[in-house]
Amino acid sequence: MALVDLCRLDEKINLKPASSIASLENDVIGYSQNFINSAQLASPPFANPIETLAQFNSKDETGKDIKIQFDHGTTTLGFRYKGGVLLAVDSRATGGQFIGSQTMKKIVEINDYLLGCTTILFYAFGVLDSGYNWDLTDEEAQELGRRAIYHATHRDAYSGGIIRVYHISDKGWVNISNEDCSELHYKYQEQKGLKDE
Amino acid sequence: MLGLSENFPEYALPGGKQARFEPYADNGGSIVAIAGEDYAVIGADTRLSTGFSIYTREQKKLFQLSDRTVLGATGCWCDTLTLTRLLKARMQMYEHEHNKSMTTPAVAQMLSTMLYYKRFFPYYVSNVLAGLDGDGKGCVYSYDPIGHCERSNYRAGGSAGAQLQPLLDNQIGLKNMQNVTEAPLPREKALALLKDVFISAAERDIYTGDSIYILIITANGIQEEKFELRKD
Amino acid sequence: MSILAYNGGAVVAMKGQDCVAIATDKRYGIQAQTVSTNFPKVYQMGPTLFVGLPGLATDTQTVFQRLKFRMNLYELKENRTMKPKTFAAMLSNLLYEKRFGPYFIEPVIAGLDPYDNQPYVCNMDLIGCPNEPEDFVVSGTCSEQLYGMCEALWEPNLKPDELFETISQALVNAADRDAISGWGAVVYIIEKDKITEKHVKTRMD
Repeated sequence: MALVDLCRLDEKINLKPASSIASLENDVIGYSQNFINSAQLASPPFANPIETLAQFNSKDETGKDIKIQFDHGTTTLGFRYKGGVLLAVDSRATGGQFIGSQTMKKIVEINDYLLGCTTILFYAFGVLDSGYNWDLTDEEAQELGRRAIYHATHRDAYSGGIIRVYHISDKGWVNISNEDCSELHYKYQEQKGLKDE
Repeated sequence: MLGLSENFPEYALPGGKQARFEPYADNGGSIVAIAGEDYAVIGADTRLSTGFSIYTREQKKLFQLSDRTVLGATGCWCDTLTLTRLLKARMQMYEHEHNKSMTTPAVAQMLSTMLYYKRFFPYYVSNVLAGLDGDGKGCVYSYDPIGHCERSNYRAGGSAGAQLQPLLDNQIGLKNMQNVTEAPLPREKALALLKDVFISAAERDIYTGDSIYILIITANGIQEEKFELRKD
Repeated sequence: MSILAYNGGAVVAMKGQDCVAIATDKRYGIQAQTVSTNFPKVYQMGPTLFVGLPGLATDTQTVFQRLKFRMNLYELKENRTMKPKTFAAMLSNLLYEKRFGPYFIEPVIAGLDPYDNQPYVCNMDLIGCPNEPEDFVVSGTCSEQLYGMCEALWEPNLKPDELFETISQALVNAADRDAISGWGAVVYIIEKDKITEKHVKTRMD
C-alpha cells in the first residue's frame, strides 16, 4: 500500500474490498457502529465530504430541491460570579428559516453537578457586559442572564421560545426559571411603562 | 465517485459525457402525529412521487415497530426502507438480548443514535415516532435528519410539515388563543383534526394526497383506518 | 438565501361577506437581525383599496412610490377612483416592465370595488403574473405556513368580525413558525364606508 499512500490515492478512491464494507453478517452492526463506541461515525463513501455533500444538497435527478436542513440552536450564555456559575439559554431550534421547535432543551442535565451546552451567541454580550460585576447577588445574576438572553431573542430571528436559567454552586445545579419570551417581553414593556399599541 | 475528469484528467475519455451521481431523491409525503393521555394517533398520506410524477397512490409510510410504537417516515424512500429495516433488526436484537420488547422512549433514543451515525452522509428522511411510553401515556418524537430528537404532544413532518405545523400549534397547542383552558384532547377530536389538516395539505402540496393511512395506538392494541384525500 | 427573504415579512388577504381583510407583520430585518418592529408592508391606495408589498424592503418602498405616482396620474386624468382590478392591471404592468431585472416583491391586493362593492383579492409573482382567487391570497417568507392556516380556517361568507379573527389567527400562527416574520401585526378590515385598522399583539422573538 506504500505507493498508494504516497500518491494519496486513497483520498480519491475507496480501496477497501466491498466485502469489508457491507458483509452480510456485519450489515446491521456495521450500520450502527456507534452503539459500541459512541465516538465512531460512518465515514462517507466519497472523498472531500464537505464539498461533495454540499453538491448533493441541491437538486435530485428530477430537479427537485433537496434541502437537508439540520436543526440549529443559537443563544446560550454562562458567566462566573461570586455566587458560582450562571447559565441561561433560549429554546428555539430552526431548520433553515422554519422554526422547528420552541421548546428544545439546549442544556443537558448530565448529573447533579454538571450541565452541558456548547454554542454561544454574541447578541447577549451587550447586556451582559454592561450589567456584570463579580459581586452580583444571586437574584441580580439570574436577572442579568435572563435579560441578556431576552434581548438576544428580541433581536435575533433564530433565537426565542423559552428562557431557561440555571444556577450552579458547590451544592450542584438548580433550575431557577423557565419563562416564555413572549410573557417576559410584555412584562419588561410594562416595567418600562410602555404600553403596546 | 471517481470523478475521473477532475481527479485524473489524463484518463478522461475525449467526448465522453459525465453524469453526476445524485444519491438523494425526494419522494414526498407528509406525516402528522398527535399524542393524548392514553393514546397516540399517527397518519401519513399514501402518495409516493418523484418530481411531477406519481409512483403509487398506495404506499403506506407508517412502520409498526411493536404493539405500542409506530414510526412514520418520508423523504428519500430508499433511505426510509434501509433505516426502518435496520431499526427493526436492532429492535429484534434488543428483544433477544434483554428478553423484553423496547419501550417507545427507548426506540426514540435508538433512532436518534442511528441517525447520528450517518452524520457525514445523512439519511434524507423526516421521522416522526408515535406510541405509548412506559407509563402508558401517549408520546410523539420528532427528528432532524441527523438525530436531533424532541418529545412533544403533536408534530407534523414531511413535505407539508411547514403548512401543517402552525395549524396544530393553534388547534392543539392553543397558541395565540385567549381565554382558553388546556384540557386533555379526546381521541375522536384528535382523529378529526388529523383528517382536517391533511385535507388542507392536499389542497396545496402536490406531494401530499390520495389517501391517509392512520394508526391509532392504545393499550388495547393498534387500530388502523384509511381516509380518502383528493387524487389530483 | 433568496433575495426575497433578505428582509423577511408576510402578507395575507381574505374575502368575506361584503368585506375584505388584509394583514401584515411589522418586522424589518437584515437576514437574522431584527432592525425595526414597525415596518408594515401594507399601504392604503384608495378609499377601499390596499396593497401589500412583501419582499425586499427597498423595492417595497420604491414600488409603492411608483404605484402612487401612476395612480395619482390616472385619477387626475380620469377624475374617478381606481377599481381594484384596474389597480392590479397597473401593478402587473409596472412589474412586467422590469421583466429581466425585477423588483423583488410579491404583491397582494385587497379591496372593494368602488362601484358595486364587490370584494376583490389578488396576488402576483415578482414579474406581475396575477392570480385572482375566490377565497384568499398569501405572500412572503411564511407563505407555506399561511397556506396551511388559511386552507383550514377560511370559510365562505365570513362577517367582518369573524374575518378579523380568521385572518389574525392565520397570520400570527404562521409567523410564529417563521424565524424572519412577525414582531407585531396590523390587520385592516375593509367594508363599504368603513376601514378598521387593528394592531395585533404577537410574540416578539
